[in-house]
Amino acid sequence: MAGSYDGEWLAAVVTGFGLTEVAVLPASVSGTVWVRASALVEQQPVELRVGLSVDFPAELPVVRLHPWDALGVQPHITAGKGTVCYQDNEGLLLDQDQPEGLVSWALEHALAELAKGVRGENRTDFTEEFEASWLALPSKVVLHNVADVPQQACELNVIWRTNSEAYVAADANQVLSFLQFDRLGKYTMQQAIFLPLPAGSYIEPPRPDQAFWTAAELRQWLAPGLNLLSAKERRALLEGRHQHGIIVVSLPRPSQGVALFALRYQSTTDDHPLLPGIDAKLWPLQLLRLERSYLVPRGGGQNTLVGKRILLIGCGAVGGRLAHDLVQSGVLDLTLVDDDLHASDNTFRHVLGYPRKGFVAKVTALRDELRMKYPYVQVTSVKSTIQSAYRAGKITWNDYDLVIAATGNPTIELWLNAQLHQPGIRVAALFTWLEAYGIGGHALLTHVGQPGCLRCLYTDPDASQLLNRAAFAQAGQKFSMSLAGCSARHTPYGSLDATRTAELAARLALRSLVGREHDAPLLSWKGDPTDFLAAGFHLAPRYQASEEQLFRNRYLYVAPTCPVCGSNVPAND
Amino acid sequence: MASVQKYFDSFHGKIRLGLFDEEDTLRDKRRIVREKLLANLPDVFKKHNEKNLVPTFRDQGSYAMRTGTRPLDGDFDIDQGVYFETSTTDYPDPVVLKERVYEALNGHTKRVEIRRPCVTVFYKDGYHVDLAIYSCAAANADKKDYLAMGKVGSEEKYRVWQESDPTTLTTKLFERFDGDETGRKQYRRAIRFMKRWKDVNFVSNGHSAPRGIGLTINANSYFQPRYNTTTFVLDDLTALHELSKEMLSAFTSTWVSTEWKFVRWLSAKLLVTPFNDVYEKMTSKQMESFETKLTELRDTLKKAIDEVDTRKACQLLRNVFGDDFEVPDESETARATPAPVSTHSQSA
Repeated sequence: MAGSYDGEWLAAVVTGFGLTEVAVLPASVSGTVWVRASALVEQQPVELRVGLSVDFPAELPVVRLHPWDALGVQPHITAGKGTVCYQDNEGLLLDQDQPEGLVSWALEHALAELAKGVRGENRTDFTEEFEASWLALPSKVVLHNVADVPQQACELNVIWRTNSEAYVAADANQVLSFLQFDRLGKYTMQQAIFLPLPAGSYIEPPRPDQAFWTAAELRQWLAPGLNLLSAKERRALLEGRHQHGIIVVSLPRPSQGVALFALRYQSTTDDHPLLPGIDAKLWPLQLLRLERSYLVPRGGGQNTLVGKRILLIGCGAVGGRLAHDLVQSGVLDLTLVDDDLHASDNTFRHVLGYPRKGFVAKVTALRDELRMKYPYVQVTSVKSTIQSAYRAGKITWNDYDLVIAATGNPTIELWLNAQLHQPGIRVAALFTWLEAYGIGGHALLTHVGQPGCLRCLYTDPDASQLLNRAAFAQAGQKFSMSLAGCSARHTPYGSLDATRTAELAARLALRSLVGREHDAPLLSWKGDPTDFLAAGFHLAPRYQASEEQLFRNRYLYVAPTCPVCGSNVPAND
Repeated sequence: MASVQKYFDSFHGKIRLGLFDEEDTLRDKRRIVREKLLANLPDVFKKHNEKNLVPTFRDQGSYAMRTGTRPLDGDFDIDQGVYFETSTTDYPDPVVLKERVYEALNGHTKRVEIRRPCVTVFYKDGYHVDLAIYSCAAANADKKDYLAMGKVGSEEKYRVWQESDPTTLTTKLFERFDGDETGRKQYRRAIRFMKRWKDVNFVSNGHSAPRGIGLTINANSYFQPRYNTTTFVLDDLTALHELSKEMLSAFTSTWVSTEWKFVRWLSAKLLVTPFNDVYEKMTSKQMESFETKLTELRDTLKKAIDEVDTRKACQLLRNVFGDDFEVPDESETARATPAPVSTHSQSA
């Protein structure tokens, strides 16, 4: 009910809450209704401004301290406006039937936060929120940080591609791997020094409404870091001509990680302003954090996925999504193998959509797509079948941490399975496929020298031909559909079926890569069989099992008589 | 072990009710009986100056449990629960209510007969419908269903309202397999196989054969599903062998007071009131023959398991399960050279 919460209503609620000298102020242009009121914070009288936006009560009231520094500089009060950040808006559900309650709740929390500030209890929050405070400072340029935050003081470079596009990096290659360009073009390089502060360091954020730090103030705040510099570091980093330059500082946050901030200096004496007694003019610089460790998600605990190498064979509907899923999970080194072209037939089920750039190789198109979307990813593409790539020596199995096959071709995958169970192989392999009409999909992980492999699924003393025992479709049926004669045969399934299969495979791959799955499970998902049955096909008894049963039995498919991994096969050393 | 599962599948296809016209016919008869009752009962009650009661119907027995098998003698039956909303005190003699049902249906077919547990409607073509007459829970102070027992001319002590809950019995017999559809499917098959084994191996008069519900209760206690953990293809042979083994080891020496001696006895206690042993009417001699034939079954199944030749294994199984168990031709079981090419359902 917009409009019903006017100044009078708000004034009455604020008065009811117990604040004094309540008066209605003119509403702002955006329609926010304001009142002013007096309150006591730790016995100090202050003036508050309480505002309701037009979206109230779907939004919390705004509480401001007036003037913003009435209680000194405090965390959780925005400089200038004085907005009290009394609550993180994310994760809150507001009961819109209790508008009075929302106002009281907001006042209660805002006053509590202010009181904490006066008592000095939330001083470390400055460090926690340091980057947010720094953002309030006026700055003309934004530096893009792509340098992994060093542990030690060191030199870094600021690489200027244009007047407004600059990167903080260890070297130009780091910028290239971020931008995913082949060449950087013309650029200028400026030296910067990086100074880490030890844990527990405290810096009061500079006030945006006052002059920025002097060189003496800077040295005072950075003293904990400067004091830790060895004589050698001091000489290497600070001595010599330093007329102007850039300083990047890391400030450990109490919770986790570090805050990063940067500033520019112009020294009056050509000496570095971090040397005692040197005077310099200082300007704050904004830093956009784009370094790999900040952007790339962690695989579990530490960045255990960094450096993991994956060989992905088959870049179709499943492989294409799988590649995306793996990269988005933090796997950054992929080699893609597929000899197929990215054709228009696949438009609505391939992650690459319609091939607007002409019919290029799937591996090339997928590599370009991944590089365009994701910084730091390293994709190698091999347009070839896996057999000829292997014969030509383009692929060495042990170069990888995991080989994933998503070819939809069991003949090739059985060959691959045998290859990856040869003595001397160290890499694990994952096979994934989906079945016709979306009745389900599967993923199987296998390790050389251990029982359980793709061939086990085809090992059945009762079968008179090679049949996949994991199949949900009854054996002996033919599924491929012809859209336009022999040239364009495909097995009917939808994009969502491919997505679901890719997700199952990606999760299994990640579990294997971070060392949470050392065994050889067969995982399956079951889809809706309506279309499958309507097309006149028959389900295998396995489809009748519940997903829970399938999961419970995931290790039980192992065939002791398997010619590849069975007990009669000599064990790999 | 020979691969006989295929032949168990076709055997099951032959013995189960449902794939043939018989079940449709049964459904038709059931419908007609229901319609006749609803049409004729008002006049019957009126004639006797009694309050008109409109019955409700519930399927029960093997039809409701879906464990029915085709009878060897072509005498198909269907059990139908007929529930009257009247208390056991309104009709102290349950046979009176059965007589009302009889009256409403008499003349409708070849023959209608009041039997101890039911009113049976016989048809010329060998079908019959068993109507179990109930005083339903809603009308009784203790909120329980009672079955009308006794027939015309029975002594008073045999004309009783017996507490009975066939719906709960069905639930209890099948809840073991919640979450295991494959196991439940095989459980039903095992019950059908055992019932057919009974029909083939025992004469059907009196209590010489163990009752189908008894075998069903035994299967509930002793059956364990056996199927491949990856393909979920059933292994009925092993499952039946283990079931017969378990049933045999459940035979105990029991004191039978009517015969004043210890006899070897397998019981099949009802899982609902009155919790009686459904084999209780069998004589010790009949029980002895049950154990002997069950031993034969177990030993034959074991031999079939050990037999490598599929044909020979099927011949053994035919000996215990009867002529509906198919024995394949020589050519059918000859091991073919594995086909070098097969189709698949995979893509990626």
